[in-house]
Amino acid sequence: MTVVLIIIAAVVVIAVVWAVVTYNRLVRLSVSADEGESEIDVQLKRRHDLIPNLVETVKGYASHERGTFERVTEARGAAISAQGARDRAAAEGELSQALGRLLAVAEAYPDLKANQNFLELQRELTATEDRIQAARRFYNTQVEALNTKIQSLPSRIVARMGSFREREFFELEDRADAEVPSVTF
Amino acid sequence: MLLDDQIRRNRWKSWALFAGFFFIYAAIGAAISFAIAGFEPQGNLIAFAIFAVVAIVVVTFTLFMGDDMAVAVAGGRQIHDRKHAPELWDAVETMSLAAGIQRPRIFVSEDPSPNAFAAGRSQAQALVCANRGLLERLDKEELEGVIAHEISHIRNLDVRLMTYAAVLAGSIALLSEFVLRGAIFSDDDSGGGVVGLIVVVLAAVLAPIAALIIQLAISRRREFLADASAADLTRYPQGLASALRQISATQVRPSHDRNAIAHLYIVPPRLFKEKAAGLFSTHPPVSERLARLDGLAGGELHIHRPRVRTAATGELLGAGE
Repeated sequence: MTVVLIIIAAVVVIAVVWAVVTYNRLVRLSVSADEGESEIDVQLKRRHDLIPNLVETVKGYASHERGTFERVTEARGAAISAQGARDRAAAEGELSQALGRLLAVAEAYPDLKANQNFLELQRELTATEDRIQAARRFYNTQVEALNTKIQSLPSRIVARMGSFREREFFELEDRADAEVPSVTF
Repeated sequence: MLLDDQIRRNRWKSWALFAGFFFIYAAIGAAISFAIAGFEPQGNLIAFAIFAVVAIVVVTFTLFMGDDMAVAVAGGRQIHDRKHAPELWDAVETMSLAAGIQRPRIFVSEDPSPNAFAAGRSQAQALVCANRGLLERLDKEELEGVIAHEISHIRNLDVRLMTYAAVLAGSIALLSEFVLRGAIFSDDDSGGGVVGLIVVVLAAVLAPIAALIIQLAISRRREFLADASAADLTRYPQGLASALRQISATQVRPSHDRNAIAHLYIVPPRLFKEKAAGLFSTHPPVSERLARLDGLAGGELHIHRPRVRTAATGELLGAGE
């Protein structure tokens, strides 16, 4: 009889230990995803901050391309005010496209292309977008691991008990890959 | 998940190999104890404890000797400002973000051979050093691949693991030497007799070889893991593959002797002097690394269309994959 009791006790102990370990893993993944998300925010904000200066510089040389400027400024506003991973990703995607068009337009102005300020801003923009992609990859990796753990069978139980929620992926195409329509005059 | 499987397998096997180490170590310690003192638990324990303490001291000492020594051997100079090496800086910063670690210290070595290494016993102490020859030869995606590989070493705490492995192998060699001397000069019959002596001598001779093989196996496995992690960080294994091809094809010799830290580099500098491969190499052969990267790239490894940015505008010419 005592043997049975000991076995039951051992099983219970093992189960509790496993539950605690799993819970902590979920916490770690969750916090990691939070960090990833805030890092994306940092880089996106960097991009937002670069844009007014960029628009002003291009305006100095190509003042009549008004439609293009307005699109960029609108897209930037929309991106800043968007909420939720999916909407923000969509808004940032719009902004990427608008920026792509702006830079494509700049191609036609050799004076602009030689301007040091413009080159510097363009380089900063490219570097920032690389960082956005890197931060996004990290975040998505954490989200994938977290969501998988929340859905998979033994850990699912613990996830439900601890009310862990799944996260959305942050889908944002690299501006380089996005379709940029050719500009004709 | 192909990549996850490979990473998980590599990690597990590394720890399994490491456990193998401790087993050899324990077995040797036990063998010595039996040979010297016969089956006398107290004597056995003391002998074993001494060697364990020695090993711990050596490990701790090596850990704290610092990665700065490695950089000094390589002749690297730290850069504190992006403008001294902008492509390298960007690559390190971007890859640190992708890996979720803090940005390591960045060093450049004025060495014409294309190579790079990472060192650091923890993330806070980490550093990456690239040769001038590397910065001049690689395009952006290739450099990112190499840096991603080095950052993976840092994130996977490879340097610490490999330092432990090296020290364990060293202490096993030390132990064996001691055993051999003890066996030769001992004429004490309280030990296990002739059979015991033979066993111990065999163990003493074979053990260092086994330890070296294990150490190098760990090292090679971690290289594959770093390659796989790099592919994961960049989502573009072609970049790293293209870089590896270029580095191994170059005939430029390194400017200093690098043997002491050869295992830290992405491609062993010794490659330029001799074709060291197989069991006794610190790195797996480049062809095998490329084959594994190809597996991760879904068979499309040869397709590296660099996204060429014109120097003037930074605008893209031609689409990447």
